[in-house]
Amino acid sequence: MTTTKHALDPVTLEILTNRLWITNDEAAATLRRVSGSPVATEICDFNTALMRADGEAFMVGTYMSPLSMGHHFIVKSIIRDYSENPGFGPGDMFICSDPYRGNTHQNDVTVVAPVHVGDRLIAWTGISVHQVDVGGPVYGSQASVGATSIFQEALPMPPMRIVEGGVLRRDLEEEYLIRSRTRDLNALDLRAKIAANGLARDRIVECAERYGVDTLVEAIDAIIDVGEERLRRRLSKLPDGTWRHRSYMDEAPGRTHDFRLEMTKSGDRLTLDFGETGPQAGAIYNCTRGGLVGGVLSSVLPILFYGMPWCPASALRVVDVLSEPGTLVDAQWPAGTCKATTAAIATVNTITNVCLGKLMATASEDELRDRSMAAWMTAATVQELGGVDQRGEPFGATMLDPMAGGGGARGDRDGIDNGGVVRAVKLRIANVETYEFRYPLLYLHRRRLVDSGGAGANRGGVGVSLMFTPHGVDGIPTNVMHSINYQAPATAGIAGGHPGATNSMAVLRGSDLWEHVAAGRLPVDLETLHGELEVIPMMASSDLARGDVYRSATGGGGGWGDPLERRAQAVAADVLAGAVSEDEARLLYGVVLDGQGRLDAGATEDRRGALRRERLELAAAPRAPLGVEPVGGAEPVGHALALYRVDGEQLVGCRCGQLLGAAGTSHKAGLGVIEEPATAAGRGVDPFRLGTDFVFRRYVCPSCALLVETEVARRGDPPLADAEIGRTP
Amino acid sequence: MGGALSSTNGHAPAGGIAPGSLLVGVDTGGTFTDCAIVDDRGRVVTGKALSTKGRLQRGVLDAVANAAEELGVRTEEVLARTSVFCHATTAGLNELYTRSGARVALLTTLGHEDAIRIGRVYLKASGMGDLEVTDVARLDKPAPVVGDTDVIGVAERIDVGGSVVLALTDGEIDRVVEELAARELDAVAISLLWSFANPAHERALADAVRRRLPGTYVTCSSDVAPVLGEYERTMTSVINAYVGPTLQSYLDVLKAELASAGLRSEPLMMQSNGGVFPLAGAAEHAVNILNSGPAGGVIASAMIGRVLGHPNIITTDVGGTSFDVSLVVDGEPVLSAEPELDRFAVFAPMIDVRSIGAGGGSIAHVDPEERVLRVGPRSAGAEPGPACYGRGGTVPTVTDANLVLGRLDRDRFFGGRLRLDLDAATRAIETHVARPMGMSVVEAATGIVDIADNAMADLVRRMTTERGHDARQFTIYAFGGGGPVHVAAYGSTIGARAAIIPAQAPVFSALGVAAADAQHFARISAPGVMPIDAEAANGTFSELAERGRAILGLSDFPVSQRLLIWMRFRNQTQEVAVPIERLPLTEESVAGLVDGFLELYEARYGRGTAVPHTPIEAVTYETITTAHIRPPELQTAPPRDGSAAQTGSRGVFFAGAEHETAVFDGLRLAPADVVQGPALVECPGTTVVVHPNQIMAVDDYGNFELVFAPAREEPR
Repeated sequence: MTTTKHALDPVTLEILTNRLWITNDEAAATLRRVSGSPVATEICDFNTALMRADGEAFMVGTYMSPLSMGHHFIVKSIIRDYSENPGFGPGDMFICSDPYRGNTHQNDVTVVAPVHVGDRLIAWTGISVHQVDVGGPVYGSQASVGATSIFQEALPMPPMRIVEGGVLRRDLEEEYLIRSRTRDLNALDLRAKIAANGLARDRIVECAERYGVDTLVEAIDAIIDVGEERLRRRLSKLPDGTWRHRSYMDEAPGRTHDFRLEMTKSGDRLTLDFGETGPQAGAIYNCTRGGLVGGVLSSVLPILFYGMPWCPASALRVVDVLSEPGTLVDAQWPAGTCKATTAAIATVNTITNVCLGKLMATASEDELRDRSMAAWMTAATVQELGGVDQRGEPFGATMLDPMAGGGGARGDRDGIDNGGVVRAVKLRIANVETYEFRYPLLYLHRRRLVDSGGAGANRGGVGVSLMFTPHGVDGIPTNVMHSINYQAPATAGIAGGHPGATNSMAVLRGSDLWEHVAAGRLPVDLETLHGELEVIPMMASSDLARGDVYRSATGGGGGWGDPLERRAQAVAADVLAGAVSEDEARLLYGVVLDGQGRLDAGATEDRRGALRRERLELAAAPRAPLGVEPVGGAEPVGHALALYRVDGEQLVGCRCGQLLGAAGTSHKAGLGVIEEPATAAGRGVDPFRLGTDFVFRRYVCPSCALLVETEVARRGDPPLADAEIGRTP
Repeated sequence: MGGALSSTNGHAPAGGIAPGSLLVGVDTGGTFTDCAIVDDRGRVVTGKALSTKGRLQRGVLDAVANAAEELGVRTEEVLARTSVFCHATTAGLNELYTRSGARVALLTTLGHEDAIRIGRVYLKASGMGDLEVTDVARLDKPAPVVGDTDVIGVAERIDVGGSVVLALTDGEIDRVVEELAARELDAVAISLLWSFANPAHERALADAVRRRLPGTYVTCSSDVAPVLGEYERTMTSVINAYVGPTLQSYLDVLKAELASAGLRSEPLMMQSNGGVFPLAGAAEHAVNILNSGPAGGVIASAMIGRVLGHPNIITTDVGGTSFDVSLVVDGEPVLSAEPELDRFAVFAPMIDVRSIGAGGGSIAHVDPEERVLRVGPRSAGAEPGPACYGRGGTVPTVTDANLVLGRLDRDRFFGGRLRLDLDAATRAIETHVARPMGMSVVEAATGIVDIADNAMADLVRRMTTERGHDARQFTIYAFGGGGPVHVAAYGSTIGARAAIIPAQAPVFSALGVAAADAQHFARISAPGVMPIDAEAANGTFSELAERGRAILGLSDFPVSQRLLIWMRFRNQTQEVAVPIERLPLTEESVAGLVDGFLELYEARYGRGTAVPHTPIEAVTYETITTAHIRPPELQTAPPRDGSAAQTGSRGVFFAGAEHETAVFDGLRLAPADVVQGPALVECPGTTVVVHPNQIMAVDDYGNFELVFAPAREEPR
C-alpha cells in the first residue's frame, strides 16, 4: 500500500478504485445500448478510458484496448494547444480522429470530456468507437488501395469542441457526418458517445461530492502509484536479460515490412526498443507513435496487470518504448495510417505479446511462468461490404467475425480456441443469423479452422473459417477485402511451440454452388465447388456477384513447448474434436491413431522416437558444439533450459545437461537447426503457397532432440537471438 | 419473525381464492425446502424440511407436512383444499453446474456445428467478475455440455425469410437417425438456422427421432427459444436437453406423489422469469425453470410492494456465499437483457438477478503482494464455515467481523441453535488481517464489514444507475439471513429512501411461489422493418395469445392478456417494448406504433436521442397472459404488546467507535413501535442492525421499515 506517500486510508482507496473501474465499464454499457452500429453493439469494437486532470490515463477498459490507449495523448494535446483558444469548461466535449494526436487510425473516432466539480477540472473521460466509414476514396476507409500519403486516405479530424456546455454543435456535427458513407450510423454513434461520456462524468462528480474532491483526486494519484508499484514488484521477480522478436508484415507477395523488437528487462524496468523496425510506408500500414504505445500497452496490461485495474499511466512510468521517427511504428506526417489497427498496431501488439511470453517462460515463479503466452491471433481478415440489401435498402457493413481467431498457448495450458485477440477481452462476434438478417448473405459455414492452432506441448487455440455467398440480391457491388499474415505466420510459438496458421482470403468466381443446391446438395467446403479461384493476397476492392463464394480463414494462436511432449491423449482428443487433423497429429505431434480414432500408444511411442532421431539427422550441427554436464546442481530456467556452472564460468544448457553457450549469449548457437519452407510449420500455414520467401527453423538439442526454439524467417535472414539468459546486469 | 397476511372480514375479494381453499408454494434449495401456505383469510404458515438429494419430492412433501402441522390440519386435507400449488427448484441448475446432466447430441445445420463452441468468442469472458476479466492468461471457455463428437451437421438450409433453400430429405433424416442410434444418448437437441422462421425441418427431425428412438428426450430450438441468434438459441436448446430428462422424471414422480397425497388441482412450476407453467409440461421447457429459486423472492417483493405502495423496489438477498440483487420497476420484476446460465448466453427469459461473492461466509484476507485488505469472492461455506462457528474454520469471514463488532449475539444466532465463538473470530481476524495490516482487531473488523457493505452498495448501484434508474425512487427489500444485518449500511449509501425487512423474510421466496399471480410469457421473433404488415402481425399475435390461454387454463381465475412488440432503431441490440392497445392491428395503428416507440425511446434515453430518418425495426412479438390469483389483501396485523420488546443492551462498534446499543426481540415488537438507532433487533434467522441516527419502525403489517437519515456523509 502507498501509506508512505498517501494519507488516504486503504479502505477508501479500495472502494474508490472499484467504483471508478465500474464507472468506466458503465460508460461502455451505455454506449452499447444507444449505439446503432453493429460494430459497437454486436462486436464491441470500442473502448473507454478515465484520465487525470493533466491527461494521464489511470483506467482503460477491457473492450478493444488500443482504441483508448491514446486518449491521454489527445487530452494532453487539447490542454497544450486549446487551453486559451477555444478553451474548455464544464459540459464541453471534443471529437477527434487524428492519429497524430493519439487516435489509432481515422476510423476510430474519439470523444473526450473534461470533468469539473464547480470550476475545478478534476478528470477527463474518453470513448472511441470504430466507425464503419469515415470517408476517403475506398469504402470502409481502411483499405485505401494505392494511397501514397494520408491525403489519399480519409482525412483526420483534429480535436474539435463539438459539445459546448452540454449542447451539440450542429455545424461541427455536419462537418463530421458529411465525410461518411454511413452518416446515419455515425450520427447515432456520436450521440451514444456523448451519452456515455456524460454518464462517466456524472458518476465521477458524484464520487467527488460524496468523498470530497481532494480525496478523489488523491485516490486517482494513488491508483497510478499502486499500479506502478505492483508492476515493479512483478517485474522484479522475473530474470534480467534481453529478448528479441521479429515479424514480417505483408504488403504484397514478395514485399513485406520488417518489425523488430528488442526487449530488455533489468531489475524493475522494461525497455522495448523498436528502433530496428523498417522505414514507414507511404500510407495504409503505418502507425504513429501513439498507435505504437497503444499496441505495446495492449499487451503489457492484459499480460502483466492481471487482477488489477488496467492503468496506462502506471505502465508508462515503468516501461520505456523506444522508436525511430520515420519508421512503420513511428510514422511522420503525412504518412497514412488508415489500416493501422489491423496492420502496424496489431503487429506491435503481437511482438510485444511474444517477447513478454519469452521473458515469462523463463520465470522461476509459477504464477508468472504459467501466464507466459505464445502469440494470440494478430489481425483478422477484414471485409467491408456495401450495396443494397434484400429489402432494397442501402447497407454498409464491416464484417468482423474473422476476429474469432485463436488465443496463444500458455505456460500451463492450451490457448483458447476461437479466443480472439489478446487486446480485446470483451470482444464478440455477431451471429450468422444477425448478419444474414442485416446483409444479403447466405453463410455456407462458420467453423473452427482445423490445424490452425500452433503445435506445442500446449496447443495454440484454433482460428476460424467462414464462407458465404450473396443471397436475395443480384450481387454486392462493393467488396473490400484486406488482411496481413497470409504469407508467413506472425503468431509465433514459445519455447519450441510452432506458430499458428496464416490468414487467407479467396473468392470462387461464378461457382456451381446453386447447381449443387438444385441437385439437393449443400456444399460447405470450398474444395467441393468449381469456379474460378481468385486468391486475395493483401487487399482488393471488387464485388461479389450471384454465385460467387467468399471464403476467409483467420489463424490460431502460437504453441508453447515441444509438440512431441504433448500428452498423446490430448492430441487424440483434438483429432476427435476437429481441432487437429490426423495427418498433423502424425506429422507434428508423432501421435498415431487406430482406424477408430483411438490412440495407438505403441505406434505413437515408436513414431515419436523416430521423429526425435529424424531431428538429430536433419539438424545442421550447432555452430558451437559444447560438452555435457551433470544435471544435478543446475539452476532451471523455464522448462527447457538451465544455467550450469563449469570451471567458475556460467553456461546455458539444455535441461538434459547439454551445454549450449555462455550465459548472456544466445543459446541458439549451441542448438542444431533444421530449416524448411514455412509451410512445414503446420498444415494451416500459407495454404495457397503465396509466401515462398519464408522458412521455418527448428532449433533442437543435439543430445536429447528436444525442440527448444522455433522461428519464422525470411530466407537468408540470420538466426534471431531470441534470448540472452543469465546475463549479469 | 412474526407477521401475517391477514384479512379482517374473512371473505375474499372478487377474483381471489375461494373460501376454505389454500395457496401452497414450495421452494426447493440445495439444503432446505421451504413451504408457505396462504389461507383464504391471508394467514401465512410456513414449513421447512431438508432437501433430500436424489429424492427431492420427499423434501417437498415433508415441507408441506411441516407447514400443515403449523396450520393444525393433516397434509391430505391441505392438499385437497389447495387451489394453486406452485413449485420452484434449483435442482436443474445444480445439475448444470456440476456437469452431471444427460448425454445430449446436437443436430444443427451443416457447416455451423461449431457455433456453441465458438460462443461468439465472448464465451471466454462471459459471467466473469469486473476484475477477473483482467487476468487474460487465466481466461477459458466453460466446459462444454455436449461432447465433441455428439454434434451432427444436417444437410438442409432455410433462409432469413423462412424459405427453404435446401430441402431436408428423407434420406438425410435416415442418415442422421442412424448416427444417433449408434450412440447411447439420453437426449437430442435440434437447432437449425432460421428454424424460428420456419420450423418444418426441426419438426421433421424431431418426429423421426421420437418415432425411431422412443424414450429419447427431444428439444427443438423453435419450441424453446424461437428467437433470432443461433448461438444463444442453440445453447438454450442444448441446456434444455441436458437438464430435461432428470427434471422430467423428478416432476413425473412429484406429480404422482402429490396426486396420491390428495392434491386435486394441476400443480404449477415457477419459471425463471417469475411466470408459471403447468408442472406436467414444465420439463419440456426445463431451461426456463433453472433460475426459479431466486424468482420467488422477487415476485414476493413485487406482491408486498403493491400492498405497501412501493412500485420501485431493489430486492437484496444476503446468503452465506453471495449477495443477490434484483429490481422491481413500476410493479414489474425486471428481466435480464442478456441472460446467462453457467456463463452460457441463453434465450431463457429470467428475472435479472445479479450476484457477487459477498455473503456472511466471504473470507477476508490480506493480498500478500499488495498488503491490501480484500473480502471474498472465496467463501468458507457452511463447512467449516466462519471461524466463530467453531467447526474448524480458522480464516476470518464477514460473519466473524460482525460478531467482533458486537452486531451478532453469540447465544441467539440461528435461534440459539449455534453458539458463536467470539475468541475464535477475534483470533482469526487478529492473525490474518489485523497483524499483517498493523491495525487493531476492531479496525480490521470494521474494514472487513465496510468493504463488504461497499461491494454490496456497488452492485446495487450497477443495477440501478447503470440502467438509468434513480435509486432515490426505490425502496430496498432485504431478506435472507444476512440482508437485515447489512442493509442499514448498503442501503443508506446508495441514496434509497428506506428499506423494508418483510415479516415473512425467512421464507420469502416460498411465499412468492405460493401467492403470485400466474403469468405466462409467449414470444416469437419475426424481425421486420416498420411499417410491418398488419395482417401478418395479427396472425402472430392470435397464435401467441391462444398458446397463453391454453397453458393457463386455470378456470377459477380471471385471465387477462397484454400484447407487446419489441422495437428498436435499425442495428441497435437493445429493444423497447411497445404495448399494443387492441387487435386487430390496422395500417393506421401500425403507423401509430412508430410514435409510441419514439416516445418511449426518448423517455428512456433522453430528449433528442432519437435519430430522425433511421429505420425502425419490429423484432419480437410477445403476449403476457395473467391468471389473477389475487391473494387476500394484506390487513393490519393484530397489535401486540411491545413494551417488553427491549431485552437489554450491549456495546456495538459503528464506524470504529463503540456505542451502547439497545437490543430488541423482534417477535415482541408491535405495529407502530419505533426503534431509535443504534439498535439491534434480533429475530429467528437474522438480526436487523440499526445504525446511529437511523430509525426503524414496525408497520401495520408487521414489516420492519428502516428509514435512512438524509444521505450519509463520507465514511470516516
